[in-house]
Amino acid sequence: MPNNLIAGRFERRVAPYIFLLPMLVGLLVFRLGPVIWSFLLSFQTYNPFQGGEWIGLSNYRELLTDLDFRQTFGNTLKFTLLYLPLGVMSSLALALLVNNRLRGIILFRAVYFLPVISAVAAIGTIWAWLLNPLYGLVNHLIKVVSGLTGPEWLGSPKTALLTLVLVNVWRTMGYAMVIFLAGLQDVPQELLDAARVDGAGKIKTFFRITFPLLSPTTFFVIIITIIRSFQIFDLVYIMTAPAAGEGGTVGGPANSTNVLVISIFQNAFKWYRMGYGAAQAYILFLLVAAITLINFRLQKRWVHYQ
Amino acid sequence: MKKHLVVLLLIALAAAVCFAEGQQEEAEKVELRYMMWDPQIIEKEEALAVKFSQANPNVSVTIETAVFAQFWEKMQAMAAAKNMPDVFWMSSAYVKDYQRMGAILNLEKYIATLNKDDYFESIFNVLRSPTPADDMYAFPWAWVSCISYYNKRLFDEAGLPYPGETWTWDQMRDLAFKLTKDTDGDGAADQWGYWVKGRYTHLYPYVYNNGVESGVTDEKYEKFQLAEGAGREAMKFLADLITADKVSPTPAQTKGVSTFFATGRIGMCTEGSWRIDTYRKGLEDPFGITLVPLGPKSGGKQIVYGWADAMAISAFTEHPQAAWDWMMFMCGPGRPVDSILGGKVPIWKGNALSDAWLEKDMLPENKELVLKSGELIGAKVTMSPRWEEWNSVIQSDFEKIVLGEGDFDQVMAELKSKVEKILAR
Amino acid sequence: MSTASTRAQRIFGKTLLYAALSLIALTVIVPFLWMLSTSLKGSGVLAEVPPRWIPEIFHWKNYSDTLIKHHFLRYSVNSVYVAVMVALGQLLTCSLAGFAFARLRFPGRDLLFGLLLATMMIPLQVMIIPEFLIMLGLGWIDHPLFLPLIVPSWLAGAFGTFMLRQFFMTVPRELEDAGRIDGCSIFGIYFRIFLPLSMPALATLFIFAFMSSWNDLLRPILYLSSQARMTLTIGLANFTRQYDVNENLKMAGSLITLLPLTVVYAFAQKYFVRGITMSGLKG
Repeated sequence: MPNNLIAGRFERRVAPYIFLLPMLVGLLVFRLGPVIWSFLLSFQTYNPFQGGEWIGLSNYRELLTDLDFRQTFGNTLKFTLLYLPLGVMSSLALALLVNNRLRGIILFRAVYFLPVISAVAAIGTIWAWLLNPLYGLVNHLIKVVSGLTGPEWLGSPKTALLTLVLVNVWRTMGYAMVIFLAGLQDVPQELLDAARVDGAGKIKTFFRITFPLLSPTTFFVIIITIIRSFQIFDLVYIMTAPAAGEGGTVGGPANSTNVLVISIFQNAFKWYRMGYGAAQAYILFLLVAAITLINFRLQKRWVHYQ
Repeated sequence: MKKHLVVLLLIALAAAVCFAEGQQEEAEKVELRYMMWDPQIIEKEEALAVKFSQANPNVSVTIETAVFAQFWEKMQAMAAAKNMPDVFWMSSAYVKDYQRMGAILNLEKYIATLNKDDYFESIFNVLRSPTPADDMYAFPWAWVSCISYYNKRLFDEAGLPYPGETWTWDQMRDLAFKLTKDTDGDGAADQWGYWVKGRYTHLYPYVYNNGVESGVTDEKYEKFQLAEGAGREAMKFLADLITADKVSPTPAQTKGVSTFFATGRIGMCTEGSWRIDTYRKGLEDPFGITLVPLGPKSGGKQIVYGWADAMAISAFTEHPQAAWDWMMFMCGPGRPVDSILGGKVPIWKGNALSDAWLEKDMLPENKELVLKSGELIGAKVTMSPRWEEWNSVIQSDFEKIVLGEGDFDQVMAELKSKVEKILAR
Repeated sequence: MSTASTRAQRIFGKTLLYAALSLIALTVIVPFLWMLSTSLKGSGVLAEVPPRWIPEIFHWKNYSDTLIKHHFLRYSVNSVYVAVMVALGQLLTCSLAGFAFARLRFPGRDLLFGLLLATMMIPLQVMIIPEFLIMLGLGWIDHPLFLPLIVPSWLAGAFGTFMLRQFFMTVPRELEDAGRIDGCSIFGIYFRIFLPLSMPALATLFIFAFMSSWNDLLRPILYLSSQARMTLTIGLANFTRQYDVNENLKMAGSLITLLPLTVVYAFAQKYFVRGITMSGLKG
């Protein structure tokens, strides 16, 4: 038998690690190491030029009394609570629409997916212009169609967060649509045919058959939508940063769009309070983990696995 | 005989070569790194570098730039690595932070050698650290002040006289009322008498002009002065212009538009003097400038809010004298006036008083007013440490008030504790 | 029920469906069209009411200005360089690791794989502060070769590893054995057999990694500061904040940023879709 048909000792023992080397180094240096380092940072005041001091729980205590952080935390929750239902329902609706054998359906699918691959920096710039309260196309159309003055979108603290939610829904609906589509196409045609024969209407079929069978996919979409809603830095940064000479701050107006990832960025990289920023990052981590866990627990109630 | 001549010549040649090499070794080759952030004038700066090298053949200057939005991050990164450029642009807002870090050189001994009459000395105090009475850690190459602008076309259309130099808040407000109109008949104002928003150039001049000599904080950088007394009066006046008097658009209405005064819909505003350049290019109407109006507690005294665009020398530089020479060259008469745009004033008096700067053929007609404002810059005007941080908070909270997200006194009370916490760090 | 009315119903239903689909498609397309339209307008007409769809004069100069005077050409070159390097790095690292997980046996293999997947759930913000400090310590901020943007992707890649592992697991054992009979070492098998077979998967990963890098905003903000080194995203972000830049130029800049990926997307749609859908799947 040829010598190398049975893998030699070298191959068995050493080769795997050679293959894994870059990945392992990266895992240590850029994933696990930072996780621990961040944790340690959160108990210090750390400025990269003046070093840091150990201050124990001070950062976390400060977070509890920090009024701006309270607002930030609230904004983050508000954003997710608004984005989650809108995002999931819109992509599900799209998937249902697109799940029809029509001529040119592929073209529609391609179009809906386009915003997903587009750079957020550009998307934010385009929408900021469209939503300009005085000169934007959207408010102009609103005036033409209804005669009313359009809302102030990103200009007013009452509407800015919702505006970001809507733009983000627009941007990401194609993504979950594709996932839902895959799930829809797994629904056995026989079941749907049987329902039709039994005289069930489209809506009943959907709720009694499609939706339950789709629930694992829906669950999955909910989880990733939640996780992604916390990673919203690019869009907020590009749409709320003030123009030159405009005054105000990123995360405005009046801090209404200051979400956790923005606050972490500002504290760590604008004001060089890296310890404070790391503490906020860990709060974010815990928040995401908690929500994910809750969702996993709730699974049993409504997700039907085959 | 010939052989001896040849040998003699060879020796002479060798001696000449050695002598020449020796000469070169004595003059040390100095390379300076210089960093700035304004891409508009980079060619002029490079031309200056060439001129400097011609006058000082052993010194060469390499110019680096960083986009302003990332300038300070890059600078901090370099400071951490103790690898800073020898000379770099320094903002008045950061001098104290960099001095505290030990990253910039104390310039006091060099400044002692200067002829102060050549410069606008009133601006020097802003660059002293930790207090305006201490040593200078950066040197100005230009300075700016906050002044008031008015749109002449709107004034003419309303038949109103232009504001004078010693006008009061009440007079300004009165003019603003008369200039706020609904020109397209849709029931909402689309032309306003004034424009104010959460921006330091709009807010702080009013504080100074109400007798609060040290501005937002006290002289020890411990107390926040805008929640009570004259400081509060100034902030309330400005906030009311938007909310109660409605003579200014809200920040929501002006969202996304850079410099709203340039749209021609605003009667007056208060901005930095460098906006002269902006408005020349962007505003179609003729405009004028004047000093900021005086508040009830000013006692008739103008305290102008101004500061310097400066340069600093790295504390880690190996060639402090060469760096200083270069800096002086850049701040002195050699700097072409057109590299100091619009309403920025060269620190070298000779340049500022030249016709090239005074630009009598351009708007505004009374540009020398900016020079006058420079002489009135408050002796205690300074920028406290962590300026960037607490200024952001103030701007944000002012927006809160004028956008109806909080009651004035409550927000100011919270703002006070926030700012004092930042100062205390 | 007569066939005529059912047919009518079906046609009505179809029309309704097309209408809904088209309406939604419009909401997607209109912003991009408006971007194009605005980018060709002159500065004076930007604030005109009512806004015009097709500008009277086509200001092609806006593009030449944005590309040259405002450095967007340079930014594009930088973006391409960084994205290609990132994608190549991902291909290398993830194919090596994916092969190891799929075909090699070593202690703790499944545990390690699980750990790798778990790291995909850690928020970026937790990891970015130390990552920045590492780059700072190495003196790599604003590095001329863009190392801080490239190196992390050469050393990590949970998603890519996962995807390639799945793919490698589908390669028939016989091929591997055949390779051994021919005298290949394990490296040879990886290189000569598995890689060539997985071109579609590699192409998907390449495009996905390329796209992620092209669109990335946070790392360029942190690690790039010289004008000459900006990539398109950060260049655009800064561009939109300059006070002498009007909306028409901003839209031109946006189009330049979007165009390359959109063109590739038009031709190779399925790679994008596949890659992005799989990036969410965690097995």
